Amino acid sequence: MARAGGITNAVNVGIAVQADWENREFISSISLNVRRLFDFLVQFESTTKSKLASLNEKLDLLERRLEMLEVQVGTAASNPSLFNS
Amino acid sequence: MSVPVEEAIAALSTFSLEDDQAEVQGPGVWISTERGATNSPIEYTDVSAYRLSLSEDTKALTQLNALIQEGKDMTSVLYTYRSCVKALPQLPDSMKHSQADLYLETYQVLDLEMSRLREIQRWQVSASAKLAADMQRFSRPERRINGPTVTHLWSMLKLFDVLVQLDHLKNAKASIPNDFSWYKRTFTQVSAQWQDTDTVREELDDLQIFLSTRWAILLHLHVEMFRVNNVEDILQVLIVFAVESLELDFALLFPERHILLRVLPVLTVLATSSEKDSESLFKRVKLNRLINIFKNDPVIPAFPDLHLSPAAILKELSIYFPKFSAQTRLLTLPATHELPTREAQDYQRHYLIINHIAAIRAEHDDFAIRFASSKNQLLLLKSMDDADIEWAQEVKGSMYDMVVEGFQLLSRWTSRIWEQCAWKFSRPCKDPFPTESDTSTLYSDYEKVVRYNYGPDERKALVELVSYIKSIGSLMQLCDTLVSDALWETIHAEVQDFVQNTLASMLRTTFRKKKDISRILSDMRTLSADWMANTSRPESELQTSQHGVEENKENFFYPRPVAPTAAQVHCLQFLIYEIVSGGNLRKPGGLFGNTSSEIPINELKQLETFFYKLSFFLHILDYSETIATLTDLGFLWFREFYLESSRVIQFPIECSLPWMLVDYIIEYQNAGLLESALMPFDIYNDSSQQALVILKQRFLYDEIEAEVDHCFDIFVSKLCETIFTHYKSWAASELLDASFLFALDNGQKFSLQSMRFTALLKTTRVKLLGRTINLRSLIAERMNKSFRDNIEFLFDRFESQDLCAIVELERQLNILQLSQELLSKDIRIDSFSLMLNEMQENISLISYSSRLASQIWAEMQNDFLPNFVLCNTTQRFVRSLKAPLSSVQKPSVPTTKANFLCGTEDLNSAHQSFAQLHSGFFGIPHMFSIVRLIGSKSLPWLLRALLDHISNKVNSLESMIAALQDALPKSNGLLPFDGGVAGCLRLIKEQLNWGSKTELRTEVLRGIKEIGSVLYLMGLLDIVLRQVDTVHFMQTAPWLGLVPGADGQILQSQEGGDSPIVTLFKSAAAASVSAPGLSNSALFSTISKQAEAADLLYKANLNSGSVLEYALAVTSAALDKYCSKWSAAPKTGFIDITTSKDFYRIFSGLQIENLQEQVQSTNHEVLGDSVAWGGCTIIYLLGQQLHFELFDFSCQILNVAEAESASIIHAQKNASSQGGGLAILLEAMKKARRLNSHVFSMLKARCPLEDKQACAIKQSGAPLHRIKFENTVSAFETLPQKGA
Repeated sequence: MARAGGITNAVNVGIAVQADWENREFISSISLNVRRLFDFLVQFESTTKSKLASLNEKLDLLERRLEMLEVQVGTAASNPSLFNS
Repeated sequence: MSVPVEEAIAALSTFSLEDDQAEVQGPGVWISTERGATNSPIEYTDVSAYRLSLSEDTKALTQLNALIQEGKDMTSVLYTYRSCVKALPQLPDSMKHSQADLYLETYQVLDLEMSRLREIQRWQVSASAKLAADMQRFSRPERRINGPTVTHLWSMLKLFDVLVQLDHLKNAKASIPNDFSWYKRTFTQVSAQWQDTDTVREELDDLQIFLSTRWAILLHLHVEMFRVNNVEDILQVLIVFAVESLELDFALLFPERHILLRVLPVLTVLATSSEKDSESLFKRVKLNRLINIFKNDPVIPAFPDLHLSPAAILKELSIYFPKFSAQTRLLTLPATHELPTREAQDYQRHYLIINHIAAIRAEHDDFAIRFASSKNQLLLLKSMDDADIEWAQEVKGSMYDMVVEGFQLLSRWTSRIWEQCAWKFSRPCKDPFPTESDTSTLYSDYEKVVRYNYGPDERKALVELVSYIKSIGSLMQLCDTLVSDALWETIHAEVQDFVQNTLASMLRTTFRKKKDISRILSDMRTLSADWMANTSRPESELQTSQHGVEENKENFFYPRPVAPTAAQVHCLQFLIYEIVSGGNLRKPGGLFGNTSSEIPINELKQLETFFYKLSFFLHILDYSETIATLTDLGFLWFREFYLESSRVIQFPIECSLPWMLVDYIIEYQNAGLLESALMPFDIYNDSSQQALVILKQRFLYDEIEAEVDHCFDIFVSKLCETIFTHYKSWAASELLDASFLFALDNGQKFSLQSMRFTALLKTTRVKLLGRTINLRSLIAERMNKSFRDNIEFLFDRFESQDLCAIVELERQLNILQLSQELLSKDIRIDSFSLMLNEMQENISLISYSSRLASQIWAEMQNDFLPNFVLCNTTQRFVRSLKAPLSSVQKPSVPTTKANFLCGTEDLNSAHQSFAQLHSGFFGIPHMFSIVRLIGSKSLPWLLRALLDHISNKVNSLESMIAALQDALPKSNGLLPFDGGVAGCLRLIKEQLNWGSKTELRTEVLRGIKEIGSVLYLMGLLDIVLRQVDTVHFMQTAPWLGLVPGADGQILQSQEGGDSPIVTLFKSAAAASVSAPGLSNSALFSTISKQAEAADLLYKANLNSGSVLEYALAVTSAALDKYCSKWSAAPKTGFIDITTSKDFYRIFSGLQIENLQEQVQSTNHEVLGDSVAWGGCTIIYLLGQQLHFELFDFSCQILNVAEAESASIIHAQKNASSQGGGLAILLEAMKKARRLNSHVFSMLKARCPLEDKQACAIKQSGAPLHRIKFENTVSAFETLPQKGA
């Protein structure tokens, strides 16, 4: 019966595994930080969006106000005689 | 200059990323840089590096994984297959000749679809062959290769599952053989002129057999498996593995659990295909264990809308596998539809989420708190520079535990939803609640299993659970990058602890003597130990330990945030499996439950724990992938099977479960659930993701997209309606009198249940199918529109009612204003005044009328003045009982929406009953409303209109009065006393022969009445304005430094000085200049200048004149023209008694005739008291008051009557026949006299007649100076330019 196990060259494998751990430490640290960068960008995007949305809201209100004032001024300007006396 | 990566990334956290939007949706953005460790075949390519002679196994593994992937694509093709035949056109008779063309076209269309089916057929043949070959390799009595590894077992099971599913789909889809037979028919038509069609025909026959045979794939697999060699060994291993994994239920997430459940019945059937086999199987696995598993899960979810039932599968397969039919115990398991009632109820209790929701809620709350606290600890740890290492490990370890717990919770919850769905599909609703409108409608099957199968409570529980899953999912997803290094570190520490400490001690003690096992153990150390992480230890120790020399103290590891690779985990699991199984597939008993093993129980336990931990590591390494799988609820939308069986293209959205949930939230207005209203939309997100990525079908995505668009529109409009109604009823209940409500028995129903819209109102980003929607701005937009619509509605409503409704209008506008105020705390909407002005068409700077003002004026002119009569005592105008002269055409009342009034029905009726109090008359309250509503801008316009009305009336009266004057006799003197009352009356009747001029007379009376009404209105307005002004004065006086003097004069408190407001801000400005630390002193000087301006403006406003006096002056000016006609100077210079045709004569005549008429008819209130007001005012302004009092007919008669009653008392007694009427007449005359004198005294007070210099008023309203009037109103006091 063929028993499992029996790494053919245990010492070499051990050294390779050790090197692998170290390499992977570097890789995972880089990849994690790239992901953090991504995360940041995503979050930045979403908060910026909501900030822009609230700015947009204020502008909307102002725009409507301005429109109203424009109409008022328009009515006044079409009858200048009323304001000359 | 280079910056370390960590520092650069850490610097990003200095950005402020605050956001006031709550997390009201599930996780939306997935970033995963790693290929999933659990499902990617690439991960196993480096297995060979560990030199475990697993290359054969790895090759097979890769092959199986590729097959699984292909198989999944095949299943999605089959699942999403929709019948083409239904869409085929029928040729009309006129085009029969092109039948052949149609056949060709049809053939080409169908050929494409059928080629896919052919592909599936070919694929399943090769897949079965490969799987069978793979299995046979491990069934040889002496195996030559290492394996199978645990991963390999899983791959076999998964491929098995795919094949079974495919088979199942093929069986369930009736449209496929249908389409195929059509295809074949067209083929025979088309291929008639083709050559060499035999091979194709053969192929077609093959395909037909494949498609029409039930369980064709499974049968084929069975043949393949048992062709050369028996595979029962490996089958038994698989069954044991599945049963043990299911029983332990530790490392299984729900997708895996479902795979095992689906495969197990089929495996059992295959493994018991001979008696010997079944005996050996049941030796290893007791039959009861299998039956228990089948009984525990009578329904297994397989596809979104199709479930499997182990009992049914076993029963059906027994026909095809005759040997299996001997297993009677397995065959007598009841299928779901034949469960006895009691058992069904037990299952029902188990499957329905509603029975578990309380426990789930508690779990959720508890977990969310603990997870957050672990996260905070981790953040704290990261912010510290030199944290204690042990503490750091503890914190990270607890984070790891929380993540494991979170995954298990999510898996449990999501599988609950899957299983509830499967249960519901297996038990359709028996009798849908009868709708009152159409009971005859037949419900489709899908409606029976979904729409009517979830009661309100169940929907609520489902919404709750969905939002728990999604919120925990997003909570975990958000801290992905935060926790991942902590997780890696913990896993690393666990693995190292096991291989360096546990294994070391095992090697030293238990397995010292056993060569085989100790070799495997040391292999395990070799392939995963990270010795260098042990930097603290001296070099020598490192050397020794590497050679496995004993060491007494436990090793301590320095953390390294690197997780083992999937290949390492794979190898470790393999080796552990080798140890416990001894490499013998035929070993009786289970995996770890083996008592006859050579391994002591204690070590076995340790190995077992580590073994299962390893399999969970992979899920944790796939952090975001796992969360995505576990929170994926997209299956709730799919309904391909029911679409096919119902023969419709798509179901209406009322049948769509996600929409049902959204609808439930909106309709039932549960305050707690409202914040989860967006959660069900995540289901759409998930299902569209599935449609694109897993099922790869564009048309499904299009259908989902269309439904989402539609649903979201409805959702927003319903939500806005709810919000609007809520704020309206909130405002309406605020405006009810609180103390009154308190005293009321049923006051409770007017109070409002509070709702929490804040979270939804703050949502600026709703993620929907990859789009971002600004919900907040949508709501704001709709709110602006609703408010405008509401104002419009109120005006429409007012325009359809009479003037008395003005009080109600004001009240409704107040409610609207208050609700705008309340709502604008949460969301930015237009100011109320802006909206009101816009809707009133009142924004022009130079126009002073408005929609409301002109409506009020029109109403007065057309309805109020002609049809209302004054009652002097009550100071009210009421509608005349007589039918109106001119029936006014009014727009019909606009259809009422409850939320355009006060919100709810109860509040509506409450406010309605209040409004009713004011709907029958016009008086002071109405005047108040008018003043407040049209404001200082349009009020002058209304006044002008009313005053013009007076002068117009006077003008129009002129000719009629002239006619009456002509009709008077040449001379009519004083009434003689001789004839008594009766004689006098007769005399008057003779003299005033206006009989032919009745119409003229009433016309004149009406004119006078209208003038009187207007004047009385002015009186009311005067009173109201006084009050308003007084309040205003009280508010401004302290700021302006005004104090009342002794005689009612207004005095300046500090002579010559500034008013308090100016002084205050001046001193503030002065102080700010001298104060050093203040930056913007200019601001204070601006404020002080503005204060001076305000001071001037408000002071100028103080002494407004009386409206009534002004109106009288205008009336007098209007009468001025007719002074000569109506008040002719006597030629003789004496008072003209007999021939005078002055106005007072006319009015006197009119009055007495009117009185007589009133007495004769019962209709008293024809004209009301305003006639007296109009007539007397004109008389007074013409200076004829004394004449009138002297010569008035009724006065004279009263005098006569007085004299009569004094001398002849019996006259009343014998004149009983007409004495009654007479007495009443006399009484009326007395009343009229009283009224007249009241009016005169009022006029004397408000407008004393003086002979002095005065102003007249031109038609345009401008005053005319220095005109001498005799006996005219002293208008001087009242004119606006006084003091100028």
